[in-house]
Amino acid sequence: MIGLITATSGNLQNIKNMLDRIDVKYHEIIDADIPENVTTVILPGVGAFPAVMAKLTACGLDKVLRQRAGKDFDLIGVCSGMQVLADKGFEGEETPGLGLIPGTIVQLAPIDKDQDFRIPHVGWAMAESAQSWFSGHKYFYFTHSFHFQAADASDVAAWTEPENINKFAAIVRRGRITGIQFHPEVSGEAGQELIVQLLQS
Amino acid sequence: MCANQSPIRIIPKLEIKGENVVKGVQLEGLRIMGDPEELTYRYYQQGADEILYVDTVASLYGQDLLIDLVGRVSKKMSVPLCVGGGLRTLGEIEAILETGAIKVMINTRAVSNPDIINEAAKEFGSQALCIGVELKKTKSGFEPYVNNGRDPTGLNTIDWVREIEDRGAGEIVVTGIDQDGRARGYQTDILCEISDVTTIPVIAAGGFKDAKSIFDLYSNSKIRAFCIGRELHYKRQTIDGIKKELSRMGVGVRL
Repeated sequence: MIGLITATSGNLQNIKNMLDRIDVKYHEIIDADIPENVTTVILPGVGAFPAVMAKLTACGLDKVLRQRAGKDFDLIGVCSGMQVLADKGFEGEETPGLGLIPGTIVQLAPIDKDQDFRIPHVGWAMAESAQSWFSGHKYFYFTHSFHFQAADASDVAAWTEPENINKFAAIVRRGRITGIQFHPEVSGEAGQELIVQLLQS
Repeated sequence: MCANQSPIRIIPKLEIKGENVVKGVQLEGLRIMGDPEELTYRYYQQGADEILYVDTVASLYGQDLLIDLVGRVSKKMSVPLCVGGGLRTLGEIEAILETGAIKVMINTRAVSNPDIINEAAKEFGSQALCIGVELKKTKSGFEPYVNNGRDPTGLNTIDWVREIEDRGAGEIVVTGIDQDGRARGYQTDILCEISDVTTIPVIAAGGFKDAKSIFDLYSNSKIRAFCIGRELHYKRQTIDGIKKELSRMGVGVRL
C-alpha cells in the first residue's frame, strides 16, 4: 500500500489527483503511525524548509522516517519534501533535516553574476539522466529558490541546468530514498510516468 | 540555440465571469468566449505551460464557482494553475491553493493592504504568490490601476513593483491595459523597464499579436513568460503554432 503524508501541508490536492488518475489507492498518514503494510511513502511539502521540518517534528514523523525509511518502506520526497531529506537546510534559519541523503539545501546561484538571474526559478526545465533507472531528457515544472546540494554526486539521479542558473539536482536517489525537486503532479504525462515508475520499482 | 536555454512560458489567460470565459478590449466590453473547462482543456492539449484564471466578478459572486472550476480542472489535467481575481484574505488564498491551484495572483488587495504580500509569502511561500499590476498610460508615464482596470491608485509604477518584490512576492504579472484585447503587441516600453528593476520573474500580459510580438519583447527585455487571451479564444492562433514559430526564431520553447 502507498502512504501519503498529509501532516506536512494542506495543499496536496494535485498529488491526490495524480494518484487518482493513475489509479493508485493511498493511505493518508496524519501522524507518526505508518502501518506495516505500507510499502512506499510519499512526502509532499509546500513552503519553507523549517516549516516542513517543524510539522514533521510536531507529530513525531521525523523520528519515524529517520528510523524506518529505506528499511520498512521506500520514501519519495517531493519539492520541500525532497529538500528535508538532506542533512540540513539554509532557508531562513539553519535547520536540521532528516539526514536520509547526505547534503545541504542552499539557494540557487547564477553561473554569471553579470547576467540576468531571477529567483524563484519558475517554469519548465529539462532533467537529464545521471542514474540509469531514469530515462531523462524530459521537461518538468519547477518552482523553487533553493536546491539540494548532494554531498555525494552519485546520489544525483537527474541534473537540470536552466539559463544562467548553476546546475542543480532535479532528482536525488540513494537506495530506497528518492527526492524530486520539481512538481511531477503538474508536469503532465512526464510527471505521471515518473511517479508510476517509482511506485512500481 | 544555446544548449541550456530555458523554454519561455506561454500562458493562456482566461478571464472568468460567472460560468463563462469572457474577453473585452482594454478590460471592458466583455463578450462570452466559452466554457472555462473546455477552453482550458483545448489549451492544455495545445501545450500551455501554465494556465491563468482571472475572476472578473469574484466580489459579486463569491469564490464558489471559481473553486468548483479549479477543482474540476485540476482533477482532469496535470498543469500548473494560477488563479486570481478578488482574493482578499489568507483564508481565500488557502482555499484556492487547497483546491489545486499552484499559485494565486493578487492585485487590488495588495494595493489596499500591501502587508498581505508579506503574510501570504510567509504562509504559503513566495513561489505561490504572484502580484498582478495593471497599468494605464498617463501623461507622465504609467499608473497602476485596480478593480479590473477601473480605479487609479496614484502609485508610482517602478516604486510599486520594487515594493512588491521587497515584500516577498514570487512573480509579477504586468498587464498593459491600453494594449489589452487589441492584438497590437505588448506594452513593451514599461515591461522592459519593470524587468530591469526586478529580480523575480515578470509575466507579460495584454496585447499579444503574434509570435513576433513575443519575440520583440523577449529580445528587448528579461521577460520569459507571456500571457495570451484573445487570439487563442477566437481560435485565430494555437499555442503549438505560436511555439513552433518562436522556435524557428531561435527562442527556446517546450514542444
